[in-house]
Amino acid sequence: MSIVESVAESLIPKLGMRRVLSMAGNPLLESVLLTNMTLELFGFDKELKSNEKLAKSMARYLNSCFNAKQEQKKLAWSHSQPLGEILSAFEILSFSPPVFATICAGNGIGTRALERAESYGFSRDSCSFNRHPVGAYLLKDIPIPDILISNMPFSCAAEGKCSEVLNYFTGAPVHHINTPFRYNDPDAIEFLKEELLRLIDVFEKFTGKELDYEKLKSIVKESNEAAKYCKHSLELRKVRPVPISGLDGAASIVPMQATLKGSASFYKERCDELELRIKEGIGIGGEDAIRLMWLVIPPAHHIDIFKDLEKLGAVAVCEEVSSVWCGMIEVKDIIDGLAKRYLENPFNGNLEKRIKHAIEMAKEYEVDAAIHNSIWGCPQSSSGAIAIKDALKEELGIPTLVFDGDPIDPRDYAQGQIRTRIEAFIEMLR
Amino acid sequence: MNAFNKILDLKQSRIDQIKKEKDSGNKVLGWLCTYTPEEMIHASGIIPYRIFKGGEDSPVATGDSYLQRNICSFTRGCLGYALAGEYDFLDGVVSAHTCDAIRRLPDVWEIYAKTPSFFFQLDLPKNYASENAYGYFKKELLRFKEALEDFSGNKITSENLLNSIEIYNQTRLMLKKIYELRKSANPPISGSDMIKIVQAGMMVDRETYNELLGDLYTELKERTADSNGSPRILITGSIVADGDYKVIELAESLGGLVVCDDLCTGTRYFWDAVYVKNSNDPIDAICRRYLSQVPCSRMNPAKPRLDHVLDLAKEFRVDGVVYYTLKFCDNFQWDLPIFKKELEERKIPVLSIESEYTESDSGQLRTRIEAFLEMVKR
Repeated sequence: MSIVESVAESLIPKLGMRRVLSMAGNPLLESVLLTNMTLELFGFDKELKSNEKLAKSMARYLNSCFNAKQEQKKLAWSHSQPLGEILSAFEILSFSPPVFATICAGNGIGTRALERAESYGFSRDSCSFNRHPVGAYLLKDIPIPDILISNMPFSCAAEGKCSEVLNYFTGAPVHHINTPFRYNDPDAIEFLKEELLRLIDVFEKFTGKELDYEKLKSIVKESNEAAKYCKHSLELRKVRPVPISGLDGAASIVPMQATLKGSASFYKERCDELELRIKEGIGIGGEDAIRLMWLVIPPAHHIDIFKDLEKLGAVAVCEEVSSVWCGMIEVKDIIDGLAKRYLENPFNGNLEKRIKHAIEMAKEYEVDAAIHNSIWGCPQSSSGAIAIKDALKEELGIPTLVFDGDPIDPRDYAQGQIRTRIEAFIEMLR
Repeated sequence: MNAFNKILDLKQSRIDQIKKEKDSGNKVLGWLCTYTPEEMIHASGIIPYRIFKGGEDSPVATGDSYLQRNICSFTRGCLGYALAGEYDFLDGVVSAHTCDAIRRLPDVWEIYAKTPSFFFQLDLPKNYASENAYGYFKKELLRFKEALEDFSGNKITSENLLNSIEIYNQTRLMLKKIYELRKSANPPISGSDMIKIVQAGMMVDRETYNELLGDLYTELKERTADSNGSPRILITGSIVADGDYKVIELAESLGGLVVCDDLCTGTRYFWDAVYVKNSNDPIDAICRRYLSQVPCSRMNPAKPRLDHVLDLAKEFRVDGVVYYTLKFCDNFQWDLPIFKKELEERKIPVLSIESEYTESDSGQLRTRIEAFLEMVKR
């Protein structure tokens, strides 16, 4: 274990995420400790300079969320990307509880917040991405919301419930965006546009400022730029040998999902680095590596699973979760564009849409097999596992390994058993 | 109780009767969730029938082959029954976009079960308290109306719809009157009998059911019962399916008396009537009733359901609340800690029970329920 790793392992559990992150902003600590710590802990590829940028910007982002009050900024808990641009236009900090849960789980401190929520009475079977923030709030180790927005672009009961619970605990106002599942229906688009306009009213009252559409437009342009490079960086993984590991590839979606400022330059740098690698023929596992598609979300607490796969001669070249957050927004009519990006998300709508997306992705990335870990507390994604497995087999002759494995809660992840099943699966693919 | 037995007999013979009606050209539509306006199905001349059989573990095991085990046993059971052909008599299935498990059930059902050929999903806004949500859901209902008309070959006129609304409101009124009788110190009907009566209504011929509810009310009003100081219990939580009587029956066999409920197979099904303000637009009235009914836990905000439970607890003078959840019923599990806190702050003890469709936990449940009843005894 490296010094940085051992410092990290002892520091975070002792001090909690809030105090460790307060070191961000100090240039020395940031570069020497925080960034390296993140890189070491997650095992990111240090040869990729863009990873350093990713680690730094994540640390700064989380620190600014923790310090929102001192900096006299309003902070919204916004579960996912879709409202990031509007929140930025109002200069409201957008904090994503599921992204925070992922980072904590990756740092090995996810369980204590989960256990704290359970000791209050929240079920261990409930969604860990949403149970974690409730427990972290009770532990006072999460940024405190001024406003709560539940806005997943697909059916997700838990985020609405998490928002209501935090509203109960903190008194911060809560607003739920209705996401229709009729993704290709003009009535649904109109309905969602009205929902977004309604929310803009809420933000105008909340901040006392009118929405500056010009400012929103420029934020949307910047966001589209990030989405363009993000999409391209993912598409570069179609090349053989794949120029980036599964871990680095999967993690690169975080800035997009958390709508971090400056994401475009990160993704551009990432693309440049990958293009250079492709030019030089540098890749993971060679041209004949087994190419895998990861369905749903990989385990943050055992993220070394990607390295285990690579040791077995298999590399994850695409993930369902990375592919759903780089939709573009039509600038001519931003509200219409935002609504359409919402509804295009493959997790929204019926199962047929999700299956179609998985099949297309498997074809485009020329995958040999898929892995689907069913999230313990997520009925909407788990209930499609068998149907997707059967469809991939029937349409493309591709096998899928399905296992129960929670991405945030290591107690619901039977590591030994899963490793054995993966080994047997890869063996079968050879 | 003559009417009670008649209602249960009707329920017992219902599928045979439906099969006969189908021979004369009638269609039958299964519905999954209480956000489905039965009035509209009735007005189209199609027979509505609730898909909510449960309580047995073997269909759940069948469903396991196609749904992950972290989906509740009710949902897996529904699929299991469908795969076993139990719902082959249905011509179609309608569901609403409610909890995430039920929301995916028709998707999987359509892929793996052979029947039926007609599926319809109502897109139900979870944040129900806005004019925007009303507007969208109304459009959904108009779409549903068109689909029903195409499927049945019958036009749904305002007149038909108003007639059906009246029939369904009659059910609501009668059930509420019967529940009123349970407020007395000696309720004339047990909780396990009452839930069977409410559930039967979701399956049997509605007009006959209404008549029998009238008879039942008269019989119960005359009936003298002695509850013998039994602790008065309210049950709330996940669906108590047709056949899933384990908790209610245990509570009553151990000396408790279930006097009221907050269940989608109980009060939440019938508590609110459809108020027609403009007879030219009955769909609007249906839309408003269904979106403003006592909400299922899937809906946001949850507070109106909490208020409903608190009101019922007061009106029915309950001594304790049993909060029943099926394992993996995430919405009701999320509400539990706050409901428990709010109830206990009002000195109403809460027993939370999580179970599945299995007998393996009966011993443990018995011990816990017994201890709870002992604690809340007057």
